[in-house]
Amino acid sequence: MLEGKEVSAILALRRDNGHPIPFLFTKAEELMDCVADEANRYPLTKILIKLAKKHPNETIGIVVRGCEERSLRELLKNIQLRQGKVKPIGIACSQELANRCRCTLPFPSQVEEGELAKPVEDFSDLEEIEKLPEDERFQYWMKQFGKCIKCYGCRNICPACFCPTCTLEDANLIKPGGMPPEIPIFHLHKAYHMADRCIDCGLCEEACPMGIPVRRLYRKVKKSVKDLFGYVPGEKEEEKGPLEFLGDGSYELPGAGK
Amino acid sequence: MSSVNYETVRTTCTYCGCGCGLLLEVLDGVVIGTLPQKDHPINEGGACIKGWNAHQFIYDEGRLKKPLVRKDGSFEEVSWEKALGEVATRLKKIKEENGPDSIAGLTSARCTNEENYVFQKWMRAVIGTNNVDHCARL
Amino acid sequence: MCSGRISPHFILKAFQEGADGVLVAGCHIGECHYGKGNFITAKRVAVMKELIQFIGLSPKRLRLEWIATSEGNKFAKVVSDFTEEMVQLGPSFLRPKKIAKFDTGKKMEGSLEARR
Repeated sequence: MLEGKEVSAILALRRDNGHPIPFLFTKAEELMDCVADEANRYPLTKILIKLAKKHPNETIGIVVRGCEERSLRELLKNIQLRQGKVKPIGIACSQELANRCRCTLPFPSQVEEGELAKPVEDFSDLEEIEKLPEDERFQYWMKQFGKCIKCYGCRNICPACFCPTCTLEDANLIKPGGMPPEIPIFHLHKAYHMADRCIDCGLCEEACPMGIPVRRLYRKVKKSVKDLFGYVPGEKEEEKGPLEFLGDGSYELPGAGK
Repeated sequence: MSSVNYETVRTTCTYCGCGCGLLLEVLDGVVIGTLPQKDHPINEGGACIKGWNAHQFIYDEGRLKKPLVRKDGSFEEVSWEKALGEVATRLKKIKEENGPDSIAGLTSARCTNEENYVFQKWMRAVIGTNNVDHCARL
Repeated sequence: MCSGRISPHFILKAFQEGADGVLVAGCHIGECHYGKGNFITAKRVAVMKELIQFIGLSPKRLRLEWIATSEGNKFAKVVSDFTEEMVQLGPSFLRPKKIAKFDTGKKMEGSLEARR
């Protein structure tokens, strides 16, 4: 693809002294170092937004797994990337990676390399929380949120988070200062935003230095949106999330009043 | 040939004594962001808020670029020789009047190890005090 | 103002400040003064209810009602029912423990009288 001048560069991981790090390949020979199926994942689509912003006329290829392709679709919907300027090159994840990530779709729509793994439908982490009675549940979450050091890692690394002014930094919604920040709403603000944007890649939980199980929160809201509105982020290219537009009134709270 | 030039550079955070592994994102020769390094044994992909913004001091406006001397309440740009001469005269005077231990030296975690070595050697051998420290030791 | 203006973040902030319950009232579906505002309110409140239930706050603490401007009696009834329901449920876990005016040192009972 590089030789055919179809794209000016390809964004992928490269092994640098044994460490896979993001790199923009501009010469075909460099691609020898390219690493694919790797347990260390980086938000390549987020890096792509920065590149596209500075160089809007370049067409850039990007090596995508299943989750990254979902992220690409979401970003294209939100006009963070332009349709003709991104060329995805699909690779499939291995079965053990799919199991580790609990991925519901470990391969993109067009796969150039790799065998398709079986999707993992496992909601046991949500059921574990929902089994607990209310006050225990609250204690559990406050204990987890109390570990937060407000590093904004979950937001910085999330491929679906791209807003220049973030709700989490708004002084009217969350009191600035203080460690931990105002809990539980610090995490709930982001969780609500993730309701129709989360692609369930799991980077947030891996980026949290304190080990807070934020991914469970976002999976729960994602599941609620799927059950209530039948919408899964990143699945279809043209469908907009239910919370992004006013709607046609076809959804009404059952017996609005309870 | 493409005009886009992007790479990530592995480095270590300069803020505290932990030494988390970071990747500095360099786009067209300008550092634009930081990502924590996933397979680093110390941070394993996590970083604190200082680490996430470790690139911000590089292009900060407050950084000194030329030697400046305060004159009548404002800063005036001078030559290296004049500035160093001024510093040497005044430090010598303070050392004579109040003794070498009245002087302390604070260096920076953003300097290289070699620069820090020279600094502390100078403090101990030339000034004659061991009052030397720097921010990452805290 | 439209109920569609109620950002879910306001609801969260209300709970954080210690509100026992949040009542969102808007025009009936199809009668929105601004056209379609209440459509999105319904969707937002539905997602918020699931979210706060997952955290451990009862979803009964967040209520959505369609009340037209002329339905004064309904409004009064809804508010008193909701207040009574909140009294039965008890104070929210996020309520600050010491509220200067009402802290009489007595154990809190369920009904409104004991709290006065």
